[in-house]
Amino acid sequence: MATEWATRAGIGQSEALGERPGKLGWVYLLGGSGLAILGISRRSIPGIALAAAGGYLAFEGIQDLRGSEKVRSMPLHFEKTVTINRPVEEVYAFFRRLEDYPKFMTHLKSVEPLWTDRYRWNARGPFGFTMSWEGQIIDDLKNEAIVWSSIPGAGMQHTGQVRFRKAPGNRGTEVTVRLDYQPLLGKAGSVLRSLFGFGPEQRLLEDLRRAKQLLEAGEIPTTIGQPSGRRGLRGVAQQILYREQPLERRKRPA
Amino acid sequence: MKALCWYGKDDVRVENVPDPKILNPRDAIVRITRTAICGSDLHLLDGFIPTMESGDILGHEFMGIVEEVGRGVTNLKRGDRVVVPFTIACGKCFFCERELWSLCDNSNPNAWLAEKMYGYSCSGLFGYSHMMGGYAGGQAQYARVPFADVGPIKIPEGLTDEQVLFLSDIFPTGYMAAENCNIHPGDVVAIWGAGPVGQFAIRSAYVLGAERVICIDRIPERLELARTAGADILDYYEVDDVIEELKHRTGGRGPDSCIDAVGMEAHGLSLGFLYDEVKTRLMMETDRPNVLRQAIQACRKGGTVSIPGVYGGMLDKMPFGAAMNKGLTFRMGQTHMMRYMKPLLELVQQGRIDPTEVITHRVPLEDAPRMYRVFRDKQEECIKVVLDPWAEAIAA
Repeated sequence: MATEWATRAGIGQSEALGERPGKLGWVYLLGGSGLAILGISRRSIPGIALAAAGGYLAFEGIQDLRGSEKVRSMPLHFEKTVTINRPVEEVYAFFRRLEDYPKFMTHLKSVEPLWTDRYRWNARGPFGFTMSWEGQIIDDLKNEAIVWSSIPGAGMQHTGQVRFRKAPGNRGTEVTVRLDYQPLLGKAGSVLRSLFGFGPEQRLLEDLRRAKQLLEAGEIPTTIGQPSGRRGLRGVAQQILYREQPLERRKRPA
Repeated sequence: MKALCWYGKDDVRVENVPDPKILNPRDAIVRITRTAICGSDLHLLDGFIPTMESGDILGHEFMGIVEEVGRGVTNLKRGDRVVVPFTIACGKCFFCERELWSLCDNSNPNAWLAEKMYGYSCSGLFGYSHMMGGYAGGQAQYARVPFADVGPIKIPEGLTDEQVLFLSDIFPTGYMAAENCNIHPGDVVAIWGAGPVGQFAIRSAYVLGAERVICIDRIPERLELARTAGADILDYYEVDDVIEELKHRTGGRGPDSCIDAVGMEAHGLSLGFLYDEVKTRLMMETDRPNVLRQAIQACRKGGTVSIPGVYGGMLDKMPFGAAMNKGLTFRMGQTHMMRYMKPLLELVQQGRIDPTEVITHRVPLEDAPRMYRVFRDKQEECIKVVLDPWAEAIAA
């Protein structure tokens, strides 16, 4: 099904494979080396992690410059399902408002409606850059499915589908989200993300969890901003370990 | 404000920390008037609980006066006296709607962490590990209470703080343990553990119609308190075989239900305990289920084993053959607090149960670090410690 939508969106197979050997290699190599040096100079636990990540990036850069297969972007897809204790109509209406997605998808800065069914997506990229692309809703079946896709030629190739189904008994609605996209830094990017924070699959699950929390409880539970004793180096390292520190810029949910 | 913070195994300190703030619309800020140390806090002191962070504020049994409410809270106002349950629940998910409050889907900001260990996440808790939400706790002068329109209950005039404080945890926990036994007239209930939860379980079992309650422990003052509540006491240091003794005291039938009010840091004299002790010190086992084994072995055929005692990880060597073939029912879980708080408040108002009976120590918050050890080591005949966050420290 994913390839169906990809074809409709005009993303050809070769485009999907992302043929740009060598172009980003220098960026990876220089950026990665810089990160590694920065990390080593920090002389701390997060610094070691930074150095390791930088080293890996530099390695991928070298591979890319040698024209290795490894860094060729391959389309990745993730699918997660969650059951939300609200009626289908309410859940569909919630997901139909794409401009509200940043409330529960923390990697998105904003989603601006341009004209009917056309949106500009602005995401937080690596190293603080904003990634931006235009997307179009290409299918909209009320209370059943919403499908969107990025415009061909945009920097970012991406399709997403949300499917809705009434859950058994009176448990509400089963929501399945499937994302197909080229990871921002190639395979290295998704591995990096797994090192530092969540892999894309876990991220999607957390996004859905937040959507469920918004729909059911009306707010997203948080402990960011609560008091504590002095954390010290150990406490901060533990916070990073349990993903409570903004190493990946964990935003306070709106 | 002052707060009791955790810094590692055997290291808790009272420190000056920032005051809590409203973070979400359904929050409230409570100025804490009384709080207590729980048996499960001792697992934190002993370093048994993973996913703690240096600097965490502990404490999950607290009450006080509402200071401030978020714009999403309409049932509480500044000045209300409330008792706050230790579990946090949203009120709107599948589990909350079915009164399974401690299984709330939406109150754990670190749900992913709990899922790694348990498959699914339970509700957030105050003052505990980050797998359970990492919420700042109530052994402090103020606390931020999420979903304040669901949890806290208002206390009417005419009751002292001490009379109602334990509605925050141990009274409903003991009551749910007894309720889970499915007590019928004529039933004999055996309770391992005469700590505060066990004490409330004894009293609750009688309220629920038990014929007789047998309480097993070894600490004299705790057994005595159990006796004053009407329990038959069993000192396991005095008998050769607890299971045989229970059989003997129940006409050869065995107790109809067994409550494990001890949990993962059980002690004992048996080979089983020795096995657990060695393995946990070697970090090859996470919990010591010595009492649970006894409960399974002692329970009559077709009976119920009720488990309020906290377990965290994996157990070794459970007599599951005995459990299966005897057709035992197991009922367990963190307390579904909101189900019980109002009915138990009524029991207190009617004078049927006096929660203050378990209090042995009343100290300022500053003395809490010392009291943690007194409580753990059962010194000074300690049964339950109540803390006053606003009293001046007793001069050292």
